[in-house]
Amino acid sequence: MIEVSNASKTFGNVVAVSDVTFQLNAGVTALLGPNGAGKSTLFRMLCGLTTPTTGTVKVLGRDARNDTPVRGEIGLSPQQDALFDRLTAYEFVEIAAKTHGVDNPKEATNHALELVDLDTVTEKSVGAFSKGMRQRVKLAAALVNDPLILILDEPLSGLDPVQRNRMIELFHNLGGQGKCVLISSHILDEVARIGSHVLVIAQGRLAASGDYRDLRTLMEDQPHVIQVNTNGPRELGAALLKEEIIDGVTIEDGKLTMTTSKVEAFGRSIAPIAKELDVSLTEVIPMDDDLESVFRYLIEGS
Amino acid sequence: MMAKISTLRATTLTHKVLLKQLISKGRLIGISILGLLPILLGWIIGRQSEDPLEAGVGFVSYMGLSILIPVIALIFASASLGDTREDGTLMYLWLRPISRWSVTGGAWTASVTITLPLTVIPMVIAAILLDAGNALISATILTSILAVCAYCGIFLLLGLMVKNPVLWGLAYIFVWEATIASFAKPAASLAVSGYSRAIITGRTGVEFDYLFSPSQGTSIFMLVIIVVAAIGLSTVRLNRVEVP
Repeated sequence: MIEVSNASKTFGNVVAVSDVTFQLNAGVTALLGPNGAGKSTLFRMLCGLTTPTTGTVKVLGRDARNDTPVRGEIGLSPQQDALFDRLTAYEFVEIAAKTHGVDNPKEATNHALELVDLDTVTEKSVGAFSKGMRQRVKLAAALVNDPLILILDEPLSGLDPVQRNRMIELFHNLGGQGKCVLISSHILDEVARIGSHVLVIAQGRLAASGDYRDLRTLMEDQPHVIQVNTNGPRELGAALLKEEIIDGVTIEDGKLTMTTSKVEAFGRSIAPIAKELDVSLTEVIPMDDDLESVFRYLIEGS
Repeated sequence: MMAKISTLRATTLTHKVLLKQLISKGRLIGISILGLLPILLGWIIGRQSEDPLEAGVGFVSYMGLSILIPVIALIFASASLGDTREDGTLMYLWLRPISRWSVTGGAWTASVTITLPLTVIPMVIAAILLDAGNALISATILTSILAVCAYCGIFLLLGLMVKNPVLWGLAYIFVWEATIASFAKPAASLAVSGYSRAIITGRTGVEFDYLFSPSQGTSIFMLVIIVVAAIGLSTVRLNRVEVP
């Protein structure tokens, strides 16, 4: 349904997307990448809002920039916050329905607003909406034409946990209906819940793609860096080394920093060993499980 | 189920959205106050002039056709698509399965819809207060409408072409339309004011020592051509623009 082939996009000397190739079919796919990785540019290319500098981008086998009918099969919820602020929620979604040529725009508008839980505030101006409500009205406008392709750029940002769960469930339902749902996020835990199929983009390049569990495995191949604040750093470091639970240790300013490939064994052992040595643990901080570190590993590993 | 949307229907929808976006309380109050200026000047000139028709045609030509109408058209027409491009809402129109013509057409009609009453009404009141007869009033109505249409077309295009279209537009209005085109015939033939002045002088029979004086028919034709060309070029530009 989506086919991206050697697509690159440059803005002057800045490479936003570099030689990206992938194909997507029906189902939910999460596009994971830090801010500025090129996710939004890739989405804009998919929708035809910008042209690739090199390579091709096809949606349902066609180029959305030059093919008017295919744009009727795309629903985009952009990252940017801008909306037609003087319209009510109903008007905003209804205009989307009408400009898509939906047969029964009133019914479709009500249904879309209901899907995102905005059916009680339809007459409120979107300019007066909170961030979460703005996010949901964008989603409603993207869903109102029942598109085959849904491209959702950070659709969960600004939503509260209950709404997030509702939306993730909605995305799965849409994927199950045979639609191609591509969702971007920069939050790893969120991506794990969105879908098992992920695309990882970093510095404009496709760093990894495939099942999320494979990505976790790839992460676990990398040694973890953990900092421990304790009143006995030397004793604790030596004991963990002796037990071969950690691979290396440094002590700086009284802080113990360790690398380990056996993170689960580390988690199980550190407290009993500390108790045995009669040292207290004040803090255990994973230093490299943030997304940036994951990307660094992925890029270096690929 | 989805049906193909006609260009007219899509234009109407675009017009509706953009008109709502363009109308803000602040803009309307500011421009209404600006509209009081020609009314006041018209009343003063009407009381003081020995030849109110000639003074009236001069006043409408310079105050109305060269300054008031283009400035107000600039504010609305350049914002109609220019603002949506700047703030990112253009995407909501651009990504729909509708023709680009309907987007530019809707933007143009939205800017004309709001500019017309804000310019033609004060200019007509000024023409009445000038007390120069019905010829001036009818000529003011016709030329104002045509000038609004032409300027809205030009500034719609400008809004899609440059950043800070208001600054560029003001430079165009005061340097090109109001100054150079008033003195140089080749420049006047490339200015809206050149043709609109020709229409008002032609309809009132007032003869100015203008360097450029095409017939009324040619002038109306040229203004229509300017509108069509500007919307056409805006459509081409919209098709090529990188949508934020």
